[in-house]
Amino acid sequence: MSDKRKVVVGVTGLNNHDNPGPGIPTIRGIRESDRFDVRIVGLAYENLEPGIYMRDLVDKAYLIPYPSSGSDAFINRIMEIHQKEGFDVIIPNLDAELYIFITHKEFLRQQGISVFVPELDVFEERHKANLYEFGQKYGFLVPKTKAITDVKDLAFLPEGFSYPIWIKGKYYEAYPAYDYHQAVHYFNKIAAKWGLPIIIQEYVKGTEVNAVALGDGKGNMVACVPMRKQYITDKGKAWAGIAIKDDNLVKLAEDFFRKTRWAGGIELEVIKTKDEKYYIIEINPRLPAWVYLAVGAGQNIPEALLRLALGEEVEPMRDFKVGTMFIRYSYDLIGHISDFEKINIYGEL
Amino acid sequence: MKKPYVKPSISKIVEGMPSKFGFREVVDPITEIDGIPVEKLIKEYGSPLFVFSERTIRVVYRQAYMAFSTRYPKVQFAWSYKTNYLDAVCRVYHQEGAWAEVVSGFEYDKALRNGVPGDKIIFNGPDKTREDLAKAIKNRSLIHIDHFDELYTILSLTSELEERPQVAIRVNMDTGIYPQWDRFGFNYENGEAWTAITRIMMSDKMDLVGLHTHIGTYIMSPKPYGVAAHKLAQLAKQIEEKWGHRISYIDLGGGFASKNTLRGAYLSGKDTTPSFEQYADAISQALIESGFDSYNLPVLFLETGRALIDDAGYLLGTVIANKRLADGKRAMIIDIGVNLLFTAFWYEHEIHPAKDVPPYLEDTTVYGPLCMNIDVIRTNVKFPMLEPGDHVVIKRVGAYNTTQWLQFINMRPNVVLIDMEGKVHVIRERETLETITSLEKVPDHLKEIGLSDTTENN
Amino acid sequence: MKDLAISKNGFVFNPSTGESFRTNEVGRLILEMLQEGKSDEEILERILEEYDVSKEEAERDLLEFLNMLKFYNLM
Repeated sequence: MSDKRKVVVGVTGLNNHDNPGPGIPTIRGIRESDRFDVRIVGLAYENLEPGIYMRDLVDKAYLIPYPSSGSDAFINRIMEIHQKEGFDVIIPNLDAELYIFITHKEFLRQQGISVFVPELDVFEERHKANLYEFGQKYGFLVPKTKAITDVKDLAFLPEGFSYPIWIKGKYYEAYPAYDYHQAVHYFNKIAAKWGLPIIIQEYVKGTEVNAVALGDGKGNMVACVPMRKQYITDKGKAWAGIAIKDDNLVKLAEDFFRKTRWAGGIELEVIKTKDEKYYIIEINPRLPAWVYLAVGAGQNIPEALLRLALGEEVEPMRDFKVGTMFIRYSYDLIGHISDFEKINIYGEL
Repeated sequence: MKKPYVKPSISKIVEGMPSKFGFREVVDPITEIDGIPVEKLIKEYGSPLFVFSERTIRVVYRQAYMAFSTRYPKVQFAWSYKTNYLDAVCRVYHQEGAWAEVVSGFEYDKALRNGVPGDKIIFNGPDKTREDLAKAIKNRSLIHIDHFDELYTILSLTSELEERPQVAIRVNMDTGIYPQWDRFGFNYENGEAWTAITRIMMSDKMDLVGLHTHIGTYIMSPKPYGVAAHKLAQLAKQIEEKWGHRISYIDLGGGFASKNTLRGAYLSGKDTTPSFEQYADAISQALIESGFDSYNLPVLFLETGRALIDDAGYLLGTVIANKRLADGKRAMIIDIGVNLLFTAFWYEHEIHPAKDVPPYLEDTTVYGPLCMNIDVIRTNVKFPMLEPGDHVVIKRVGAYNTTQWLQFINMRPNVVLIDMEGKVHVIRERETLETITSLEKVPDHLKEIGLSDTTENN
Repeated sequence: MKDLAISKNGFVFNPSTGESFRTNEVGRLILEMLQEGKSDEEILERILEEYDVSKEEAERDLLEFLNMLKFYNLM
């Protein structure tokens, strides 16, 4: 008989194709924990999210409505699943759903579900559209950033901007545009998918470095692993990366948690210039899809996140193996139409 | 006993396609409004039909008033006429205590007709004629000056009139939002607002009673209001320092968002629109922290329209036909067009069936009845199958639609108000052919058109 | 058409194309009768027997349903 604590954990973001979500690597980290005996309940939006069919990682999967259908429909479905599964914790992994989890954190807690997410004001402050003001308020270097709602603004860029610029979606996707025509193309492409506003950002030259990090919500950093992407797909996703020693970046992350008291995981995207300045270009409000690199390098961040969500004290992790690499690969999972039928007709598998 | 029939349907399961719609979306029917069945309303008053709920108007107004008055001691709302100037609707707000905020001579006269005293009318906007201004000065209305030409017209009127004009200036400013509205009023940052204030104070021919700003429309964040309140408060204090003159009110205009979802927005407006409390927090905190004497605080004026009235308005309509588009997509044609629902251009309006229907939903385009390609009410909405003659209810249409609507291709329908007791009143009658033609004149040489009826010869 | 796998729960699988569909009760009845080689008239008769519906409505719906089947290349 094991003395591991039994917990039921809901995890979203089970997409694991060429634009992978953080769900599966998060689950892998949690499954490797010696402390917990977990039941993983996958929460999927689409009927082909690979996680639904990964029976060794996901014990049970349910379809849930997109956050855009409104919090009523979303939370009702979560409650319906809660009746059957009895969640202890839900770990949200997608930017677009965080808003609802944050605004319903207290409600979910009353139902016995713990969600470890930041406060709404700091969540909004670090939003792409507000990132520049965020930098000014907390004293971080941030490239000039502005939210625009009209494609006409690309012809006469706001003061202080000149091509090239980054064109970014509210939640996902970013492309560098070297002239007006490219900018219009990307504006329309992103707006069709993720809506308005579109964010334009000054193009800062340098090397991009990233960090995955975890804050305890009281101002302490619990974990942090910096990484440089070694290979990037045409969608801008890391396909291979390496854990690097970058004490300045770790300090920057620590500073971020101290000043914002952020609760939960983040991915810091930073441009390091030739003269060793660190410009924050994006703060993603959740763990990244490459979080398993941190697990491999010695910091099991998903496990630590779960422990924080359960109200445990977690000792800060400092060490990790520099030079640990991840190389993504694809893998053909075998399923059957009868599984597909179940997830589509009954919404669960 | 035969089984209940449900129209046969089949749809392809789209494999893993990211769409904005997920699993088990439900569209609830709206079968009645304030206890009156939708069927009955349409039967008695026709389709389409605008329905306003007096109860919702009063409840929402009181919520808004409560949100502000519990945070700031002196609050005065003024009903924004352009948002909805149906007399009955305006009078509900006036009964609740709201003053009138108007932006044209037409609206000004309408407010007087509704019994609003002249000194409780705020006169905004760039279009005030010399005659309008003279009338407003005599009535001691609050004139919010928009540009220097208007300021000089008022100055020249002071030599003809006995009354001292009661004026405020409209200020535009950078509150951190985009786009920044700079076409109305005097700019704060470049000192233009201060120049206008100086001109007014030096003239000594009018009373500068207020400062006004209106930072934009559909502002989804309370923060810019805090910035605006702070900047106006600073101006007020500078005026007091320089001339020892106290501003009696600060008017933060409107622009609060309603709970409609903007086209292109990802999350539902019901989730993301700030509450009155959140707007009130930002504004009152900025004012209170501005350092006014606590016994001499300026009155806070608010002119919010949309957020007060949107929820109280419903548009009822009827399904005309269903069809399949060339690509197999379902389309539903209803008798509500964009000529009546102007806001369909910027909102993803919520549309509901008016009766219980099977829960089976399909991606549907909802078209209006106009013979015009732009007449689209919803480009894509998961909707149940309705039959021709079935009714639909569109929610949150109270703002701007009964002022911006067009008499185009067809005539405008009845507008009714359901009062607090559940009694239904027509508050604007449906137009008839006579309504339209009574304004037209045909020159003599066009009276005979010369076409004769040839059907008898066939 | 004959190869279509139709589940009681309304899931329809076309093994020759790999596509799947969702249908409702009356839709399933129509599909099953088509598989048995029944004519449109026979199907209509059966619907009128079993369900509370007028002939005009059932006929129009059947026509639309058959059009959808053609659109999806199911017949």
